[in-house]
Amino acid sequence: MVPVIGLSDQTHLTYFSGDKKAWPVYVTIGKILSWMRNSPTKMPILGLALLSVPPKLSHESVHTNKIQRQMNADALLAVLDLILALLQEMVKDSAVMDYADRKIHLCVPILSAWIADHAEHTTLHGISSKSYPQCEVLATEVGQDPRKHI
Amino acid sequence: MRFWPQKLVRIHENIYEPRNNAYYAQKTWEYKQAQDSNIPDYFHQIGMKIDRNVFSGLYRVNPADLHKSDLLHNIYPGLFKHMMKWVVGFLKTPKWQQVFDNSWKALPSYQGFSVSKKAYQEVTQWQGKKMRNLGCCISAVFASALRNPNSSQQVSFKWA
Repeated sequence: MVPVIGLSDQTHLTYFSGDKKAWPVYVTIGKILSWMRNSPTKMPILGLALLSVPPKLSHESVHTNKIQRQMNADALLAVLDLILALLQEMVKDSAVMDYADRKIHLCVPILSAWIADHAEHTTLHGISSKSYPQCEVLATEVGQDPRKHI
Repeated sequence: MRFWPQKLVRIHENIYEPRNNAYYAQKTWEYKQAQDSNIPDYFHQIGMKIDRNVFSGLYRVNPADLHKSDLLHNIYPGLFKHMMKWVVGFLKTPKWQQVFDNSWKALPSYQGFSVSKKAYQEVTQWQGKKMRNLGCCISAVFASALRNPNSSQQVSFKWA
């Protein structure tokens, strides 16, 4: 099994000329030693895609804002489906790959981590900003003593 | 140290229900078929938006099990900021505060390491990189500020 690690972060490019943003997605694999992964000259992290950053609101009415949000979510879903489609084929069928030990191995690459900040995870997991992607903790209970929940 | 995040997750799973994406997919399918108005309320209650998870359709991937490391917000502005509150609270004695600030300002910068020339409490906005640099040297600065306590200052150590 080859653990695939995805990385993404929305970045501000300009502040006063249209507030342009870039949304890069990178990919690496888990079977790389940390010193090698942190070395830029070894190029262990590859750029996979630059996601589109559509306007958040249409500034017309509440209804058009809602439509705009749905369109943005659908576009993000479609683009990431396209990006990860090749990986899905390899997971289903497995792939023969050259390894660093100069042997050929049958590999199953599986997405196992996604490194991003909380705001990014809320967008990708489709949850509200006060929710947690791992479990169904209520927004009112976040940050409180979890033992009180029992 | 290596195993405590797993323990935390295990405790967490016992307390709160882990997100079950197969169940959510079934609920979404039911909503698309019958337009049941209770289903959006259910998703709203658990803080989810219907059919917006980009990882839900992936083969052999459980979105809830994906590792989600966020060092910047968990460790530096989260945990480390709280720890600095304790440190500042412990340094309430003016002499210690002064020695701490002087040691902190006297640190020379070198490649990959730069500290602010202001005292800790004078800095209003901490960037992640500066917070990381502070984490590299805080124990040494703290130790130098607390060296050679006199008999009245030793009381604080006994309380701590």
